[in-house]
Amino acid sequence: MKIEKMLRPSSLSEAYSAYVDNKESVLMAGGVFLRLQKREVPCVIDLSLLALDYVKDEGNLVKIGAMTTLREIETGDVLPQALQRSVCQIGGIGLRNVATVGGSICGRYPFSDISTALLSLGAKLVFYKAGEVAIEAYLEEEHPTRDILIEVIVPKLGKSNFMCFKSVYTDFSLISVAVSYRDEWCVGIGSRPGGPILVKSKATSEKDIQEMLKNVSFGGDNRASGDYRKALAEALIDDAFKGVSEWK
Amino acid sequence: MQVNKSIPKVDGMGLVLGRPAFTDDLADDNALIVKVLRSPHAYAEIMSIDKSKAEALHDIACILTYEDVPNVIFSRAGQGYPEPSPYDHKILDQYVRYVGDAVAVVAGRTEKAVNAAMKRIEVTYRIIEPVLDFELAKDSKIRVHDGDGTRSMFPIGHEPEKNLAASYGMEIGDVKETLKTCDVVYEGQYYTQQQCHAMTEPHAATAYYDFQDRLNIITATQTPFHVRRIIGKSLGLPLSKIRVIKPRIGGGYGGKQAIHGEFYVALVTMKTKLPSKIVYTRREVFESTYTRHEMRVDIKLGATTDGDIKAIDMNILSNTGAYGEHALTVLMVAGSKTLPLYNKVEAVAFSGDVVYTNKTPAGAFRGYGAVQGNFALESAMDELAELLKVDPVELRKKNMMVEHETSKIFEIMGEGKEGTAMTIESCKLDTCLAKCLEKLNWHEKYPRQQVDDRYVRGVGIALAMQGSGIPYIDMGSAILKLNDDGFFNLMIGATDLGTGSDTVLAQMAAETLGVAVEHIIVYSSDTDLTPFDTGAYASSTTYVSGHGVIIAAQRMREAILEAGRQHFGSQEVQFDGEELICGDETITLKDLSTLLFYSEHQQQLVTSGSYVGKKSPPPYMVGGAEVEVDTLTGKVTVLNYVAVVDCGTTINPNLARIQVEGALVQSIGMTLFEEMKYTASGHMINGSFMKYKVPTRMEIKNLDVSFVESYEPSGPFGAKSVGEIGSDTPPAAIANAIKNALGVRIRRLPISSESVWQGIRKH
Amino acid sequence: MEIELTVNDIQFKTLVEPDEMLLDTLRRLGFKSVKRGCDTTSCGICSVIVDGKLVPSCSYYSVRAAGKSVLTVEGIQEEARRIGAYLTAEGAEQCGFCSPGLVMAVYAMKNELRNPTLADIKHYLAGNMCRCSGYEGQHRGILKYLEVCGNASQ
Repeated sequence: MKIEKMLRPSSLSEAYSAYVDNKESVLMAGGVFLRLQKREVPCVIDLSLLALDYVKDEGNLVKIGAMTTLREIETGDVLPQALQRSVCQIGGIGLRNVATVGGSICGRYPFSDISTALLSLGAKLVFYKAGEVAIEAYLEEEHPTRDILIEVIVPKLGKSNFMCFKSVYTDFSLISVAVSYRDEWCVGIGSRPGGPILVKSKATSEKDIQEMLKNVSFGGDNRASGDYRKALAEALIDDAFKGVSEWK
Repeated sequence: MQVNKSIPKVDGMGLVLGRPAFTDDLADDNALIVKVLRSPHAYAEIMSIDKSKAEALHDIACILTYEDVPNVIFSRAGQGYPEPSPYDHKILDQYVRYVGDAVAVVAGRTEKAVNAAMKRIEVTYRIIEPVLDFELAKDSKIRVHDGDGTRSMFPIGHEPEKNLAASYGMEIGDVKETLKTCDVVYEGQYYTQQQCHAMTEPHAATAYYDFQDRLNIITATQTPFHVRRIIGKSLGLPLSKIRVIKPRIGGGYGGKQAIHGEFYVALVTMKTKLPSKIVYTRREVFESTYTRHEMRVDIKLGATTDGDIKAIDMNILSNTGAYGEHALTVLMVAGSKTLPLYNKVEAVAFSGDVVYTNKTPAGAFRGYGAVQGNFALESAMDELAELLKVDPVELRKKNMMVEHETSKIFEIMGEGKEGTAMTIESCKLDTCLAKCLEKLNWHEKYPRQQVDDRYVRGVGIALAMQGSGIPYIDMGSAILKLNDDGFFNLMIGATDLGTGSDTVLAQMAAETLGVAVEHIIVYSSDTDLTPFDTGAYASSTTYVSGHGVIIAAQRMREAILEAGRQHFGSQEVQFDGEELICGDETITLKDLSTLLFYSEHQQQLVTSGSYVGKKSPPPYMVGGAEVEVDTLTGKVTVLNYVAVVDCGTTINPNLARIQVEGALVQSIGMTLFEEMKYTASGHMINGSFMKYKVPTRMEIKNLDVSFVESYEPSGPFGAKSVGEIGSDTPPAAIANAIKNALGVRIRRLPISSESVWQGIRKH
Repeated sequence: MEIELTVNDIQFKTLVEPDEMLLDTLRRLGFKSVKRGCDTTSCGICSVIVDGKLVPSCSYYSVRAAGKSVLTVEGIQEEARRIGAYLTAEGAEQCGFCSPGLVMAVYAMKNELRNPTLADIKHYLAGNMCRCSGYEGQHRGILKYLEVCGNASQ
């Protein structure tokens, strides 16, 4: 990405007004994937000076600053297992020291392992103007309004899990799944063409994976066929459930 | 002993400490940045190029198109001369033949300026329908090279009107008739893919004029002398006006055995008289350099019910992409470095076509065809064993090459022409096999072990051979110079590309001289300062260049003794590596060398040696894989890879081991993961390390590499080569292990988890 | 944009483009140990340490290094020599192009992990690619190095 100008605001209000005033400006979190885009942008707004990197333990939920790096999530000690497991196979540690949770969500990457985990966990996103938005709703929006993600709120579920299938350890996932139980089974499925989705199911048991997946479509692309992705998802969901004892 | 000893690489610590060593580290900080505008089309004719808007920009020094450069046709292949590769390449051409082919060369003061200029070059293309499927290329109405002056230096089966870069055929005995007499005939078809070298240092070159008005090129090349020759011929420069310097190289594996960016920087510097440099982007390395030849191998094996193999027929279709570098020789090696493994046949035939397509060109790549041939042959051996209902190990034992035997193939198949007859004087395949089976715990593990209802393990093996240089073609030489204080400069044309050959050659010099290796300062390679060497390829450096070093060192030792005789005035002088001894009198080499410079019989002791191989003794190896397959996902994990190698004496056992370990991992990558993927229009989809996945350290569970006692009488200190042999076995050994685990036979690389899963579903 | 940064204890004031990457700035300032392998954060070859954290300098905007302290292999020569002794004893540096980045990663790992197992080491270094060595020689060397440092499991 070619950048003509970079702004480094030191307050959220400054960042926000710069962002809404200039419709061609782009927000930069970690910048790892953003910089690979083949485009020229007149103005980039760097969010790294806004003190948005933190993990706060608030009893039954955790607040994660949008600029918290993936490595901080990986090594944090109060985060749900699904979230921690979702980051530890994203690139190498160097990449995870730069890439952020906010960038991963707002980049809306179809291959995002983190969004898959956050969907399953029922994370809420806190935006500067719009306030709280469920991640599911955010990812469904086709053209989200220009706003700045400040924080991700994750319930501190004791039981959740994440699994991904990569042909090589640091590759993008061919499929990823995250599971949790929040009054019903909440299964995040990611790295499918079309991006990560959340499947909720009232299935009576975690063994009824077919029931959970009955309405999910698995597209094919140059990396894997739809049928294969489905088979992987079934195996991985089973693994994810088996990785936690006594779900209910 | 200085040989058969593990010492650190002479350049290792400097590299670890980050000393400037590679081409881009050495380039002038103010060198013009050179970049190449590349074709967005798989096949097109350039109807017009307007560079005026780009030239008008600030900081742009020059822009070159096909209209500005010499219109000469040549081969970029860094091979012996005359090359057995077709002359089908121009520096810049009016036709572009693959996505990524060069259109224009832009040089400017900053990268930013050059990028801006590239966007302003207006090119009008006449798009031509490309031929992308190599199985449809032969005799296609679309010709990749058509009436463009393409030619060959001698007959290589080059027929551009049929899209043939090269073709070859040979037969010993009558294969068709012999197959009819066989009790069992196995027939199979195997596919291997385009693999990228993915060396960590991208191709890079920098050029500048020196004070003698000579063009200097520093380049990451495996073949500096070929670079000088090809640059001189194609740019019309006397070779005396060119100096090529090879600094440290960040890996090559064959990918730097050709001319890539050297033309561009040479032309820019010739035009502007300013230093210039090019560093390929990672995408360019993937898309616009070289790949391993994609192949389809058809094989027939005929045997008696007793398991005597009587006939082998191997036919290959090879894809050379848009240009035919190494087309014929890689094809031939697929046969000549596999078929002699089973030398007891009554008849053997080998034939093949190498076709042009509109894809990234193929070139030299570690293994050089033997990997592809081995996948077919060694998979087929297991398949034949199954038909015969015999143990695949016993089938191999019964038919494989044994020491002191020969194969007619050595005599018939050489470097694009006839070969050199030889008797195998060292072949420890039997020991390698026994040791490999023992290490794999074969008798307990073969064919499979069920771990639980989901995971199953299997073991598989493959045999392999390679060569040690190309007889009567590959030549290596060395110069040794004695300095005051008693240390030596060893100047070699051999091109260390990270393998450790500088170190191995220093060890040979030290051993021959009888001195400690610390006293040898190695310099490689520089067309002004080091003597000729064909280059680092064909597993030739230890075997061929090593002999050159030994000859130079023997002469130096004699020269030192002669200087001692003069010093003592006696014929009875001995040299023990530190001191010259004459009766009760001694003088250290350190003192003598200083006397020789300043005060007594003053002279510079300098010797040279050169050597051309008379044969190419094959190293042998048995590779064994233990895999675990997840039957739900098809994921294959190589739990253990055992390699037992006969490479003669290991000059530096550590470095030999790392050569094999590294080759295994590259080849495991080829077997399971790596593949260039294209769109229907011929654009590479995965041209980055983000998408083209080479194995990480997490995929490697255990490598068990060992060497058997072996001594090659023709080799330096008994050594054969070790650089390539490690590449050959993983495809077949892993495919055989998967078959043994699941009953599923995969005949196409890479063996992706999805292909295994599909195989399980159909099984 | 003008930034001030510290590289290996040397303070620099330098002009950088808004889209300039730390890799390019460091090489321009003379730190040639920092190599470009991929440009997509995928190979670890350009690894340096910024304020104590291992980062791929190909994907770290230079402006963000303003006011920060950067460490390259040139700045940890003694430790690099110790690590290097174990790598070269195995021949595991091979072409050496990935070695400075690997050394930075090993250095960061040693500071971050207590008594890592081989599995921990492999996970930590998974982003550091090597195409020559096959990795196993690196692991042999690194394990011995950590053992001598008193920072190895068992």
